[in-house]
Amino acid sequence: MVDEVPVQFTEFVASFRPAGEAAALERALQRLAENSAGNPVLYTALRDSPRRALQSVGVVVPMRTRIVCHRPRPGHCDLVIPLEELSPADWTPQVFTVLRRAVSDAGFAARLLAEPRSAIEDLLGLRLPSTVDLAVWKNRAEELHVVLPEGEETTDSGETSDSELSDAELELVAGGTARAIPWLACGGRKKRSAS
Amino acid sequence: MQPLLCVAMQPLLRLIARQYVGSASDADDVVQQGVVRFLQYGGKADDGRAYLATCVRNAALDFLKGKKKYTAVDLANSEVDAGSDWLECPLELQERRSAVESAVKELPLEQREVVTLKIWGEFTFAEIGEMTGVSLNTAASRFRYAMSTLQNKLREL
Repeated sequence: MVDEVPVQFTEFVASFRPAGEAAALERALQRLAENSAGNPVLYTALRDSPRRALQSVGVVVPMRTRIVCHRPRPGHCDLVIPLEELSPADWTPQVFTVLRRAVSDAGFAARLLAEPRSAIEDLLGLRLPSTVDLAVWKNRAEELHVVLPEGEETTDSGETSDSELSDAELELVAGGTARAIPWLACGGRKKRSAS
Repeated sequence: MQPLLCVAMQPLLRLIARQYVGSASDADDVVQQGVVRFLQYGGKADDGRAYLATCVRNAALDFLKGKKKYTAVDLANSEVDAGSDWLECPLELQERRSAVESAVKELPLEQREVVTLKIWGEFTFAEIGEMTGVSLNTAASRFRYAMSTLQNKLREL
């Protein structure tokens, strides 16, 4: 007869994760965010509970992993430093340059996290509009970030408001980042058709 | 959405495959074959996750069959690649990870696969029993034996 296994010991063994799990989760999360463009139901699910949205497609997120979705907001831009090596096909050239440097250079990554504006301006040799607020996040196995696509924002009631917004409101949402710095819109991700 | 599931589960599928086949590259081939089967037939499954894991396990067994005529004894002694990392963790815990991984690799296959499916796959014993062709009680019992062995080996940590 074997004794019951202490929960703490099981949790200790489970704290070591299959190699590459966090990066795979990052890829799946990003793909789900891309698929949510033009899919208000998926967008709302992802925005409100990314863990549950991933579960709905069969993806189990380890308890230790927190997922943070960043919604597009007027005058604000979120950039995420990914875990994985970057592909230029996925990013606008400027953001690819910034993130590639951040992935390979820990010093630059630290500066980008602390002073995103000056780090980007110095690296790219340009001035960013002062009206746009920047925030940079770094993906870790314990915390993954994803930037939701623009143009799918919903009202607090949970209903899609895309078709209900006035032209002026749409202008405000789209104009926040996309118009001021087009290459920073959607966290610098190139737009793809949903697959 | 099935390809998304395959993307997210790839590390777990590779870990499952590596319980049966020696090298990492063979495990990748097995995962690929399992995913292809899943994409061909997975639409009928109620639980895509469990079905995908089963497809990869079956592909691994077929791989072994192709390599040699395997028996229960062959399976029990199925080689594991001792040199490469199965698990990941923060840098400061590498020593512990290495100890856990080595201890898991020393378990008999029938216990190793239950530990993998239960701890890292988060499958229920009922699902594991169905995947491995044993009863729920047998799966749970194998898990308890395995964890008891691991606990004894890792007492120092």
